[in-house]
Amino acid sequence: MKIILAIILSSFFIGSSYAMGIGNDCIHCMYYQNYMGINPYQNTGYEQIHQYYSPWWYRYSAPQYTNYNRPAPWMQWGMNGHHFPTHQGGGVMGKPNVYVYGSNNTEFEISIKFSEKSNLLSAIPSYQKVWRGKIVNNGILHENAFYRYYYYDYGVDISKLQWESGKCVKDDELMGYLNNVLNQSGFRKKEIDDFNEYWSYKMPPGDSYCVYPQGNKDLNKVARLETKPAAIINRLSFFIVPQVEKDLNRKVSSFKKPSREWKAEKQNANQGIVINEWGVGWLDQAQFETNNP
Amino acid sequence: MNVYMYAGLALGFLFTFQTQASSQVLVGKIQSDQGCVQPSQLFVSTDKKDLLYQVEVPINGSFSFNLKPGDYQFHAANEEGCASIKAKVKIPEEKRITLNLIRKQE
Repeated sequence: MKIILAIILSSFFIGSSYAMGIGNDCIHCMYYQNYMGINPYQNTGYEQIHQYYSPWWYRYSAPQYTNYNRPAPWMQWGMNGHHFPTHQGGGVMGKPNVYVYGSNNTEFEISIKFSEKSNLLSAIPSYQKVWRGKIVNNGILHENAFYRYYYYDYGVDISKLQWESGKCVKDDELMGYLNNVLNQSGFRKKEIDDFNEYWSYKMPPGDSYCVYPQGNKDLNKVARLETKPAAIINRLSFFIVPQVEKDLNRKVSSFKKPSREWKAEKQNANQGIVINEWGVGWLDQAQFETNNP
Repeated sequence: MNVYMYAGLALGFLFTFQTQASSQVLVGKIQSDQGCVQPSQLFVSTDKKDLLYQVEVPINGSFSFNLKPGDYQFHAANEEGCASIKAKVKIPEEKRITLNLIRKQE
């Protein structure tokens, strides 16, 4: 009898403290409550996949958003592009991180030239026509703030990207495949760690994924990077199309699969300014029917 | 049938033109007058809780977002336990925003 009473009472208290943390506006309360080990994802549909790391933020705000573990508002196998003022190019390139290396105190400029149906959506730091920074300790000093990397998102004209080479992989092979390609392409450990930290938690669900890596040549057709002084630029963005929505079991049958494997090109550069950029792209599902390349 | 088809195409064209023409770039900054130092995660969402962006911004760092007309929420927090209040932003009325990180009240 005592045991049953204890179970009932403990259930009541656990339930009460959990309920207090969900749906209120006390950010700090939620922040610290999450670290007390209370699972904030109960009944929220949260689904953890591809986890390599556990960044502090991964449980911070999950209950407050409908799509916390998606790269953006999500439909079945692509983004809900209605939220973004793209130029109707059919896709969005999410989170290109731009790392800049060179001698300490080297000043540089980076500008981005977009193609007609590609356009800037966001930028960190703010971007108008150019980023002007100074290399400091393998990071960037920009208007008195220290950035580990530059960041931007853009609507992309998918008709200019390559769709022939790549690979389709199962969901449990995806992060391993992406890591292999990043390694083979010469990306540094901290860059790959940043990639894993974010995409381990933001990868949309799928039973399998077709990955179409886009290198310098492809990305220059949609968003060309120009630098002063001239830099060695190593760019790689993965365009990823989830093939099956787990819950709905719908296939993306009309999108062509890669016909050959991607071969990474490793850049070897030890002098001057070196820029490494990785990113991940998604189809704009709302635009897909008119943009199937 | 053709009338409806042409009407739909016209509406689609107008919608496309309107959304491209009326988007606006919001520029902002994250600061802290309470000595918060670590980079923050900036969360940008619609008023319906759709998370549009989650990005890392350092203290004194800036950001710019090209947004469609509508109501948005901006919130920043970092690993130290610092956080900003949720700022409501209306596009296209507002063009600048500053988020101030404060420490958790003990």
